Amino acid sequence: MAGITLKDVSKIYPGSTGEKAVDGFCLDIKDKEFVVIVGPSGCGKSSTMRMIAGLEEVSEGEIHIGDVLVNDVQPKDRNIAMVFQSYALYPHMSVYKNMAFALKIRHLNKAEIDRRVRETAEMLGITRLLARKPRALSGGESQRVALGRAMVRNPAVFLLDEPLSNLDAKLRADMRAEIIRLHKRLETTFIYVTHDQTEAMTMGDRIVIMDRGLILQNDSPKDIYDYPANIFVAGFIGSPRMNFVEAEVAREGGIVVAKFGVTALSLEKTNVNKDVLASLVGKKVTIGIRPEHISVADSVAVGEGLLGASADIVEVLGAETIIHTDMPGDLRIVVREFNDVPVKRGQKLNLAVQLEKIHIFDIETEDSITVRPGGTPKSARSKIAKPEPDSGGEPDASDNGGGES
Amino acid sequence: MRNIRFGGRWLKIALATLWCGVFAVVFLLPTVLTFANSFMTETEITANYGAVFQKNETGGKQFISEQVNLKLIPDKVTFSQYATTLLKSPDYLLKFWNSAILVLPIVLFQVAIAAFAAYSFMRTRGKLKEILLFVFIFVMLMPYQVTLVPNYLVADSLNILGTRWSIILPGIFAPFSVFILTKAMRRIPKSLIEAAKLDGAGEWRVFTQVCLPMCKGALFSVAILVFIDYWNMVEQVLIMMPEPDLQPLSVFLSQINTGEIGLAFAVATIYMVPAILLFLYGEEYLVEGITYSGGLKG
Amino acid sequence: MIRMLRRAKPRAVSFLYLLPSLAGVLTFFIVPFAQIIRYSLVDNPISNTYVGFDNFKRLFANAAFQRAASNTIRFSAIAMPLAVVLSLLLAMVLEAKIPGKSKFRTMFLSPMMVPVASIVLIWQVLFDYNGVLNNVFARFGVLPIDWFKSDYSHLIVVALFLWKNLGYNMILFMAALGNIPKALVEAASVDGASSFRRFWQIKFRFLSPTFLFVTILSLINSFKVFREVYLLTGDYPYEDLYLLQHFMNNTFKSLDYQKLSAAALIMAVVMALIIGILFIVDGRLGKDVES
Repeated sequence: MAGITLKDVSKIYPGSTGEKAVDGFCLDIKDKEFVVIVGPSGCGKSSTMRMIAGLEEVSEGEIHIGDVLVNDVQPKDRNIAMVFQSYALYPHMSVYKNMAFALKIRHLNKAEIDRRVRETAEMLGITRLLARKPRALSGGESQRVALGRAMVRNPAVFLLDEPLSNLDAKLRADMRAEIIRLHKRLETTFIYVTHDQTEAMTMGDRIVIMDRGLILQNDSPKDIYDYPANIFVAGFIGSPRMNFVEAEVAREGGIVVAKFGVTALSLEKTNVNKDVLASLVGKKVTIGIRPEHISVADSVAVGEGLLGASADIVEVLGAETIIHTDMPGDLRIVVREFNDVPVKRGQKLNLAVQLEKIHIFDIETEDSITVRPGGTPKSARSKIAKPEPDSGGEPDASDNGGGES
Repeated sequence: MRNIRFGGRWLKIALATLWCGVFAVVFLLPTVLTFANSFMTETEITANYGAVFQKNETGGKQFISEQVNLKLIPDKVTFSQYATTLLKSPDYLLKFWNSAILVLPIVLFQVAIAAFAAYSFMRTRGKLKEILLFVFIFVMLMPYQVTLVPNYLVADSLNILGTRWSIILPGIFAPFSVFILTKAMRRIPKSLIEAAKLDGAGEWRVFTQVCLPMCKGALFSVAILVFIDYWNMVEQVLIMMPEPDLQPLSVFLSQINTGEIGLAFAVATIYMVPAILLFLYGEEYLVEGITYSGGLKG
Repeated sequence: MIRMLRRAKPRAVSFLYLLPSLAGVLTFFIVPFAQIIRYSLVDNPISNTYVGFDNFKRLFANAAFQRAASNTIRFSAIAMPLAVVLSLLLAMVLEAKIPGKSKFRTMFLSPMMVPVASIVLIWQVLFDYNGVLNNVFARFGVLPIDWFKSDYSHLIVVALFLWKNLGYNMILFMAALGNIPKALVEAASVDGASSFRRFWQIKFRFLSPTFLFVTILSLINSFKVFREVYLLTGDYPYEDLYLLQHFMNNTFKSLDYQKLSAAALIMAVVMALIIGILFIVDGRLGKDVES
């Protein structure tokens, strides 16, 4: 029904010292796409969404919905529905009236309103709640009603502002799946704001990561995970967090290695242009290794590097074990081990690192030096971050990792 | 050790309850006595209180009874005082009507106009608005001794001195309700208003269909508070409307004739009834309203 | 241009909602107040000659004003602290989980609903020369006095004032006490703070905005006690009970606008000063706990 284009959109709040809450935000959202904007609190993601909704004025730039410039269009005329974090259900109206409110304002006839409310309620399984007042609803029920209220209007765009953050963990997982199903069924554009990287990874066709008003990366979940554009993105996506180590690049016995602590890891297998790699020799870099790409091993297989460490804290989660280790040189490395290896605190461990999964970041700019196969490095900390024609949707372009599950 | 402490706690609560009980009796007794005395015959009233009220007539002491006799239960319960008030003394009914016709428009319009103003103070919060709100609060905090002078000057220049308008108009625009309703409206989550906007509602609809229904409690409690204040009015009447014809019962009751003391108790009780009924019906709202009034900020 | 208009529209609409109230407040309170300032500085409204502070000097030299002001100040100075402290005590006692808490609340609140006019009969019966109070005292050999014409008259009025106002203040304190985060008080107990310390260092901090408000409110209400005094004793009460409102009423009757304006202005300034000081004190006390 409608794509959305944001051109150099900035938000400066009146009364602030002129700093931009959103800074030169550029994004093309295709029709029927599910885009997740994710970032820590205060990164500008909510401001962006509120500008799309028309709840905040656009300080600079342009927002188009479909082909229409909407900067000065009232929220009610944008054909947009929003699901609020607090649900924002009218407390004095029944669920039915909450859902019918927008339709009544649009002067639909009673029969049509009734049909649409009941149909939507049926779809969400809230028919039995229609007569209730919001205060008589549980968190999950309120959530459904809030979704229903947005759905009855058949809006061109759905905006969801941290809709799951007030739910408990189990319900959150259920609703996550439900919202994905709804998106498939409604075939409408969804923009979803969250601070939760799990929600971002599981729900979005595309993820936009923001920090301090800037887009740091704009990619499919898979590409964001495999090829984070900078240290911020690498640290933000993935749990436990990626390990970062400051290392010196050196050439040892003809191969380029990263030296840190008492160890050195080969960088030859990483996705870095050979010339670039050669030019790094003698320089300091930050290398990043995800915990799931390190395992406890007796011996090292081909393509793996070895680290010596001692176990500090061991978290047994059942399916996996998270091991916090100490390494010489006051380094701490977290390991996510999927095999059932008994590890005790203080135990000396050999850690096997999948060398091809090592990320290299510029120590100054914090941008990634790693290249994605068949692609240019994604723009990082730049103001222009348009999706590439081929990488908007399915994350099948670079399925050669295999290390993560 | 434990037991002693437990006993101490029990004793504390017992003492607190006793203390409250004493206070409660003191607080209730005058009202109850007025009520009870309204059911006494004139003879009994005169016998009981003659010593207090008779002297006014002559200026001297004209003892009908030696002793004042404060009694809770009438010797003989009678509705004769009420019958006299309602059937034979139209003067009192007229004064009651005077009260009503002054107070009801003030309550109605003060709350209505304030609801609009409060909505405005809630929707946009610029510098100008905050200054205006401060001015409103400042005016609200001024006692009658200050505000009656400007009210009088305006009433004079509008040529409404001595008419009901001289009391009703300043009453309608007194900013007390604005202050409380602004606080109530500012408690409405912003997201609700935004949701209504996205649902397609304009300002009028947001105001009437979202904000007003959500502030129902606050509206009612403000109405009660304004009602009590004006039902009790004295100062304005004395200055703006000295002619007895138009005066409300709140002023007229004190000018009651000796020899009609029994009647006075009945009229006093009738005058209490609307306020007491409001209280019994709306105590929770009243408490809510008082709570809203607490604190001058936001 | 159109863009600017569109942006200005919501603000204009919202201003429209304020208009009736603003117009009324300006007309009946603010604009005439400017007139008052003018009146207070001229010899009379017709010749309009500027006389500086002569009206104020005349006012301060006026014996009736002096008496009214000092009586009012004395009354407020006694009634205000009592109204604050006693209502806080009542609120704290009610918060102490006593049985029938809501019944007690109702009873304490009820006097505020009773019109003064309805209750003056009983006050007269109680405090008259031949009244109940003297009867009771007579049993202990105390000679009867006419309470409203005695040196105790203002204390009687203080009692009537407290009777009517404690309930309202108590509700405010109860609400404030209920808003103190329980966890904080519990944390303090766990830390070993005595109940005295818990009150002053935790509860009182949270109460201080309410404390400020109740103080201001009691001050304003203490001016309203004129109602009781007038209904009990008429236009010319015993000299201890001659309050500012009596003075104003009599000045109104003589249509001395200059004196009236000067008095109103002085009172407005004094009120503004008192409220301002209370605000500053509150800002010092409460700034850490405001959310």
